[in-house]
Amino acid sequence: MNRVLTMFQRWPFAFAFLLALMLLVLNLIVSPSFLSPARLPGTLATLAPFVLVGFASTPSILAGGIDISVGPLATFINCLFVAILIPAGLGDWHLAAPIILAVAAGIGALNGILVAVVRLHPVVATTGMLFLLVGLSLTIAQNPVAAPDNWTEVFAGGIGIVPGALITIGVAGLIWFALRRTAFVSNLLATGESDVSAYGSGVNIKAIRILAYTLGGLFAGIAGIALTALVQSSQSSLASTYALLGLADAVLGGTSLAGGRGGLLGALFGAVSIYLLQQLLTASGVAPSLIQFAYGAVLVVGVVLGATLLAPRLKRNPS
Amino acid sequence: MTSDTLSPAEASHAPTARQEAWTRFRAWVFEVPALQVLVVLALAAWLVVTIPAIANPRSVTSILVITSLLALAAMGQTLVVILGGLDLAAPGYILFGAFMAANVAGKLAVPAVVAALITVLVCGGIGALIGWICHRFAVQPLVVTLGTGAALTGATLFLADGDYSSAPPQSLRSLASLRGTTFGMPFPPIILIVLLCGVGMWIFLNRTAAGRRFHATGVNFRAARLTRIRTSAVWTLVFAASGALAGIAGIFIASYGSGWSQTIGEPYLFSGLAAVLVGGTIFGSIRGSYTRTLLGALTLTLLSTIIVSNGLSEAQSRIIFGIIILAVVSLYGRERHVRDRF
Amino acid sequence: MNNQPSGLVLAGVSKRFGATRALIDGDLHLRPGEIHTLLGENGSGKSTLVKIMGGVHRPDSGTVTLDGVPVTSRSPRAAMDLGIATVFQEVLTAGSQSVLENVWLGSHETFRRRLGRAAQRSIAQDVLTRIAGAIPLDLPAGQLSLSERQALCIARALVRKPKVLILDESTASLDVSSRDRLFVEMRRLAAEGTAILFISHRMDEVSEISDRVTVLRSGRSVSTMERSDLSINRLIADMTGSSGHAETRRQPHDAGDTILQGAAVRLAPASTPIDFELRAGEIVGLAGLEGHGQDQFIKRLAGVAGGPGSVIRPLPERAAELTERNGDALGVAYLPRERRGESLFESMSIRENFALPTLGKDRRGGLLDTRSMARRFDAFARSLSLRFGAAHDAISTLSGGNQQKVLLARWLATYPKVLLLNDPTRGVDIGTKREIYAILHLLSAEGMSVVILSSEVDELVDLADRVLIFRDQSVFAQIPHFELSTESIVAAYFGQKSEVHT
Repeated sequence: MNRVLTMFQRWPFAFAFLLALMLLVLNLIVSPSFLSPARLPGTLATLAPFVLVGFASTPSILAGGIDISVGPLATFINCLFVAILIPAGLGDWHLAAPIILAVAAGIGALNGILVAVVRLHPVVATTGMLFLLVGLSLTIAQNPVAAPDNWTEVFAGGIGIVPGALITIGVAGLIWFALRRTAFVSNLLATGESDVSAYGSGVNIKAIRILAYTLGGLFAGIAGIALTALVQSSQSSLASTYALLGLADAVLGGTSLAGGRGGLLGALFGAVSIYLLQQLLTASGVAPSLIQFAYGAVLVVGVVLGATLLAPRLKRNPS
Repeated sequence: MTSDTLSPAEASHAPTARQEAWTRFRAWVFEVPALQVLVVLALAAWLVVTIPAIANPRSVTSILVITSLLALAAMGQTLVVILGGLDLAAPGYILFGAFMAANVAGKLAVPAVVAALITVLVCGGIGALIGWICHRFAVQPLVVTLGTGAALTGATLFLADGDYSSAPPQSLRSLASLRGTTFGMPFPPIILIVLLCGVGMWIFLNRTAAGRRFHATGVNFRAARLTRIRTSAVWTLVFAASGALAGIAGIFIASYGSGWSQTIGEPYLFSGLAAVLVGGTIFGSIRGSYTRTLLGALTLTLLSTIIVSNGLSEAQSRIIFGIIILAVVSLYGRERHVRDRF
Repeated sequence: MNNQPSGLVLAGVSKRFGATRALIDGDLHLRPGEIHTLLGENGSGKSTLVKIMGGVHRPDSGTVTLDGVPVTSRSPRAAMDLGIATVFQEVLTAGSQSVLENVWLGSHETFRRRLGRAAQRSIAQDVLTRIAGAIPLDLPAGQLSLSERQALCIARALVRKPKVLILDESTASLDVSSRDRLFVEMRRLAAEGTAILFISHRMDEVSEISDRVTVLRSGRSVSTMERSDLSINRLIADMTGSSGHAETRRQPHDAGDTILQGAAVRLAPASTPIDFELRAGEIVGLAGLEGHGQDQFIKRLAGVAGGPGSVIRPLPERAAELTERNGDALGVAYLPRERRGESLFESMSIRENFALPTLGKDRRGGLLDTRSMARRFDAFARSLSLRFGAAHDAISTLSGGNQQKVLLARWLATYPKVLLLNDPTRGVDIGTKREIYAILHLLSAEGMSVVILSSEVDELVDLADRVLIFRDQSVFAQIPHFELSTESIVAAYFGQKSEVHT
């Protein structure tokens, strides 16, 4: 039993991984063609925004803070692209992509500055930003605007045999993987666990924090691209849907809200678990309201199990 | 700054009387919601000056009623924020309360009091469970409340079975209707109810032992335990109160709107939080009170009115809310620098 | 070739925080190759001076120069880049990261590591072994003992090969063997030209290691002494501003009824069970090397920690077992070790910090009577000679010693029969310490029992009727009053019982 517990402690995402695996098996039982090559790109395309919003939430949590504006940021990017960039003739990928990513990262950096320099509580700073982004999205595109053919479609379909969604998720993953090989992630985790310790040891916690939120913004930008790929229109109303979903992904995946523990794999498996749960229940004919109930229940159980499984040795500190 | 370096009595050059007076004045301004009162007065003045027509009883009542609804929805959240957490289940509680008012008290003609009681018991009970779980298992309330809110929303919608067309009974609607009267006075009871709640909250937080212990639990959880405060009771009761209050708010919100919808609770999560933050309550600090939330709600409602009457859309009001939140908290809600936590 | 003094020189440095002047006129000359001790009570400005040197704070006035070049460090990182490495008073480790990561924490750039993995490992291994013995590099730092974590923080500074090394109370949490190894390391580094600033509250360490000693008092540098001129009495006089004091040694006296009993209390799974009896009017000391169980034991007595065995309060009607809930009702009060983390509500007022556990006494018809609270507070403030501005100020405005007095008052206001104190004079200046000792003497004469855990041997020798020495999670020896001495206690730390009884 102890060895199992140690495994959970070493890999915070283990619980979500097992949950996702179990749900995948159940899905295959209920709909055997679930993973068929014909369906897979569409499935992954729907999954991608969920996963990427989870990715976007993770760096700020690891840094010891939180960013609840990543969902609205993804929606904002979606509206920006469809309702402004395309009509303005900036719709080509070599023009739009850099603009999108720069804007998204810039907004993330702004959050980082509010938290690290102005020293606002992360919930406060990102709530303010949430309001701003929701307002901006509504201003740009109150009603859904259909997008003409554009380069994002490929991320919902495929490039050759590779499902396009894997590219968006993969790019984000690669960025993180590259960063793990530098000192950044190590500095980030230390800052998240105890910023006083990191500061006293000589870590530049201001820079680390700003970079964490910037990275989150960047991932949210990629999420916005994946979202556009999926819906092929501007959907400002989705802001509230995604707002807190990223948080759920990350925490279900074992990333601790206290900071210093977790990673992108957790957000991945967390998002996959939630998605598979919804797929399973839909395919089984369960009413949407009960699906929402199940999602909520699984979230609570998952988080509590994760806390009791993963943290028997950590100090008890509920707030 | 560490306590180990300060020794006011031992410093041989005392600060000048003027410096001391200024420090005390600044501390007082931030302790008492003086800033918020000023802002409310300024906004009200601006409103009256730019739109003289607004100074009529009906418009004033409308503003006050909307403020009351927001303040009611934010009451529970205030308590949770003082404790140092966040209750994301508020939309679920509000939805349940609205369902109770419309479908149960309205359509099924269950007496309003019974419907209210059930709401309090169900929402309060769920909240109590959340608080107990978070304390017992040492989990952050953020995702637990998120999940519980989703589960409650799902359950409520399931019970509603697609029927969103019912309206709450007249007895409830008159509590929040603009034409309602309170003991003959020309405003609906909800305004008085919320004011009384405000007074009650103030008494509770400042003048009862339980209130002080509650504050202490938010300021330093570990120390609260070692000071023999029953922190499990604090957590359970605060989240129970948060649930019950949000549920009641849902009843009133549905009564005001004479109906409900699937998403009736959603705007109140972040607007409620905005009211708490703009009021100046700080997470897990001694500086937190419901009076502040009342002022915050009033500020936001006045702002909305100004924005709408100036022809701007709801979208722009969101943008301005965002800026206001950031501005207000930047002024005096800033966290300490790391070097001062050494 | 310049004529500027080499080393780190602070001249006329001052710093204020809000309305309080923490440092008024700080002077210090730290020469390369010397071990220079900085002494001062809390409130003397010593912490502030160290933080200015370490880059945490910037001085309001005065100059700081390193080898003649003016220096203004805006952060600990900036100071480190100049070659000034500080080991701060708090033990700062990132618990879930490995020992290796912790040792090199802050040495890297934001992205780039300055050294390859292999070099990191070998250097870290080398330095750690020299101070703390063998510690596995891949273990999460949270699993280390307090002493090992402190050693890790010291290693963190050493791997940077600093020009100036500042050790702020770094020996406080080290066990004796690690401390001796540290001293060897310090002498070696000094011989190689490193300037070392050493801060400690322990006079024996000061006499052993210092080349020179500077004393701070009330924000000013008061004196600097060479090793050859060192006199403990003079140092204490400079620190407190008064001439020497007469040691007040506790007189042996009779104890009353049994007031607290521990039966078969086990502090760890396989440790020897402890039986314990506390009588009315006794002052019992708990001592031992860090981590040997005395901390756990006092928590068991308080009912704050659980475990095998029972702690019982024999009452006239029945014997009541102590749990977390009933400490109040049974007249047992516990003052925890860490002020900030476990006792203080920093943003709440002084008066409220005092009144919190006893709010019931101020209740009148369901509401709190602030005048009753004020009266109670004033009474205790007077009897404890508390120094403060206004009772409704935040408690964070008080000095460490005064804060501790407020906390003591908090628990005395419960009129306990048993007062459990966990290292109560840690970080408290000498003047306040003596006041606290006097209060404890008085209380025990009135029949209150006190159990005091202390890491300062002298304190126990002065205060206690008997001292329990802990080794390996159990009571190793009990030293009765007539055998109490610094030598007998320290000998027992290392397992030598000789003439002491068990």
